[in-house]
Amino acid sequence: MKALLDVEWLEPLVEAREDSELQSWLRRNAPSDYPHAPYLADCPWMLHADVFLDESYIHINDIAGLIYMTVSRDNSCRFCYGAVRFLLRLQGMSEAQIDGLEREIDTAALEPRVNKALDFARRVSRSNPPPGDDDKRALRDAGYGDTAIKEIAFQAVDAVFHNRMATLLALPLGASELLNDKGLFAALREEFARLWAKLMTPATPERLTDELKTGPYSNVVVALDGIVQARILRRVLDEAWASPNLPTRTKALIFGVIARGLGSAPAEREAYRLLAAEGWAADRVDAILAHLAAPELDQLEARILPYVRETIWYQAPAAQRRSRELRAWLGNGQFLETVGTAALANMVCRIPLVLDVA
Amino acid sequence: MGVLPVLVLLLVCTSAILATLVRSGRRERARLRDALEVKSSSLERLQTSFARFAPEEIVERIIAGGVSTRGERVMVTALFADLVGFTALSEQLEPDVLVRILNGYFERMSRAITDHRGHVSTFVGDGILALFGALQPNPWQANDALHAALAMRDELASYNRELQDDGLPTLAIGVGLHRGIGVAGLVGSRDLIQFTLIGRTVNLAARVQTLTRQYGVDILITSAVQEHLDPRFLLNPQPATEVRGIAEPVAIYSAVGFDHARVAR
Repeated sequence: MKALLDVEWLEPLVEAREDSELQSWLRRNAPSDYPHAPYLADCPWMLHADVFLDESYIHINDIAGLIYMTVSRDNSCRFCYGAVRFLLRLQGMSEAQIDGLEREIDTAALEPRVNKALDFARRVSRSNPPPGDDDKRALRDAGYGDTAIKEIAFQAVDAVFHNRMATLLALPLGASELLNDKGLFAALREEFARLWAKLMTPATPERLTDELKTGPYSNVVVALDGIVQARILRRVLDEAWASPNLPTRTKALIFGVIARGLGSAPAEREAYRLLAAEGWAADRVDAILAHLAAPELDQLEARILPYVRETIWYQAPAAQRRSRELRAWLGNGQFLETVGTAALANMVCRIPLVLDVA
Repeated sequence: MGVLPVLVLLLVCTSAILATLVRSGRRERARLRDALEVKSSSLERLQTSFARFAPEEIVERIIAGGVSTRGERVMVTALFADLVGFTALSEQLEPDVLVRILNGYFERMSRAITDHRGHVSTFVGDGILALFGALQPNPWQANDALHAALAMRDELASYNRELQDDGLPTLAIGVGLHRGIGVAGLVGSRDLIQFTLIGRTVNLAARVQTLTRQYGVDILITSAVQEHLDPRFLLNPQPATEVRGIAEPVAIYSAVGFDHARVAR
């Protein structure tokens, strides 16, 4: 996929800041190095989400990396593409093997059940239109149970989140693109693979407690009950909502815009509920979501809402140019949180399009 | 000759043959890999070229699933634009000048449309049919379409200044907008196929466009568009008009502009 490595990529749109607290948190919680961590220092929940979402899968562990690669390529995310290649290398694959794997993805030459899962994930990410009941039936016929289907859907939206975060912030491409099959890395590849396998032993899913079934977008979290990622998403949403860079109402509005754009009715209902809790009547929310403008919006919201609309479907270079324009109006933390919330909303609001959400 | 030398000789010969086979297999694999790279590059070039003839989303759908003639019922806003008096003008101009003027016009109008998330469905002579919401669901399509029409007005004004500087005749447009349900899909014969919208929505946009001459304005929209517009658009109501094929007179508005300073209510 040489063409993806030629995709225009701007210099990072956010400032890097060394933060000892964040570094020590990383040492305690992260299974590997996160060289872009300083760029997220002003909005720690985004880095936490980045780390938590790296949790592995139980039913689809063999294809999770392929799903991530497929969606990242589809979204032309150079950062995530480089990162997933790096991860596959850590798992013991050579450059040539990964190139071969990509060719097999392109030509649908993998096992039919794998091709079906990748196609499903691609359609979850594109959501135009999202996969329907027939597609889920095809996955079941291919041997995937309901829990595995939830995992496939989640891995696809996980990539949706990461692709947007990396592309819209223009995170530095770093070492993941530069690694090759020479030198120390090649010599130690098998060691890395053994270590990685140990680190990524899947956790056992626990059912959600009543407490975890509350909070913003609990309807979506509940729909994921039964997979490890349900608890992770709950934690990510709670941290995002508690973060002080943007008011909670702005975050609810961002979710409302993405839900409206995707036609995700359960996600839009939840945005209305959250905005009602902020004191906004439904007719005013109607007016805002209809035109992405209203007298009640503050100056930043008036700029943020038209921007986040553009994150639903995008071409990477144009998305980065629009991000640069918005960046000029926002502080570092505000901009980070705008992008992070938009990325999270794109992730969360796609789930009701494929899974049953109340 | 003893058995051992024969065995050694056999072993050496077998090793030599195996080594040759392995080398030849490697060469063959490398050749196939190179051939695949070449094919893959030419496919990417083809995809890029193909994207000039059809929207990227459609190209991707065709690559993924072949040419499907399955239609999809979608809510769209259709924009129909036509050059006023161009037929008469075309008879007075040299063919190459005519084509140059038209290409410059299409280039600028297409940019105004795509900048506002529309896509040009087809060029009909000097007419343009653009659709908003046909390729991706777009709840803000009415606003996008009218913003595009206003941008086309500005682009044309700037193009006219260039034409005037070159001593060429200037252009005038009529634009009609209507919003409604249509069937979007790949339509055509085995030899020529294009992505377009079928249904009354396009016909009505084209019909409203012709009324611009009658009302002496450049942009007219139907009430189906107006109902979904940001209130900051400045509109002038026009007399309701009988439109062929529609039972009730159609309420229409001319577009004046967009008041950025005004706060939406």
